Amino acid sequence: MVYSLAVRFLRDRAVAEELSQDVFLRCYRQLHLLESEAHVTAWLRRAICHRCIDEARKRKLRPKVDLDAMPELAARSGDSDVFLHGRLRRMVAALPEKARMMLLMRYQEDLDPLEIAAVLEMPVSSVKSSLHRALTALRGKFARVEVAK
Amino acid sequence: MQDDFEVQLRRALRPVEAPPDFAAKVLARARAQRVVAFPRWIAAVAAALVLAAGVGQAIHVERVRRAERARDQLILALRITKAKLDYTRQRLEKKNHDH
Repeated sequence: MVYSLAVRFLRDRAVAEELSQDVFLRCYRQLHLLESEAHVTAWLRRAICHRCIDEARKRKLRPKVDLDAMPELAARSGDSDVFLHGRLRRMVAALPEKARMMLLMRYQEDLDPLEIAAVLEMPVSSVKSSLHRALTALRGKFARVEVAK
Repeated sequence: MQDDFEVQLRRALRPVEAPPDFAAKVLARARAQRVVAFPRWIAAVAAALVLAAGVGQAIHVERVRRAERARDQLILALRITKAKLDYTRQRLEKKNHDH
């Protein structure tokens, strides 16, 4: 979850790994404050989300290694349309930081808007409307690309 | 209810596994930080020892200063005593000479 969110969000494996390690180390240092496995999971999720958003804003990160040009792991390479998914990932990567993180939490981590709102410390209504806007924008862009093909 | 677009999006954003050596790297960093933390504790003890040594040195300097002052006072007292004895001896010699 931690590395996966970071690598999908930042699209840079090295930076994602470094940030993920930092988050795990901080978690290790604060373990005495965490009360349960669910608490640890929530803490890790919140920490990596905020670190990723901060990092993207700070460095205005652009991918050094394009994930779409790299082969996926063998166990997960059953997709019929690698190129379609690559296009979708590039479109998601072009979204503003918070919208991008919301989509990742919604479609990668399978969180509902209430859980996303808790992680990002935002009202649920804002999360719902942002998700809706981002999805609509992606659909429109995707449809235009498909028509242009 | 998800439409086809959302299904494709979910597949496109499926989780990525961490590198196989990820956990080992985190553990190595945690161990390294523990090693770094130990000298900090040592440094605190060393600082306390240096402080104690400084205080000890200051006490020693003060003792030496007191001893020197006492020695100077003793020398002065001996000089006064010697002067008085010389004077007394001179008086006695003069008295004997007069008789």
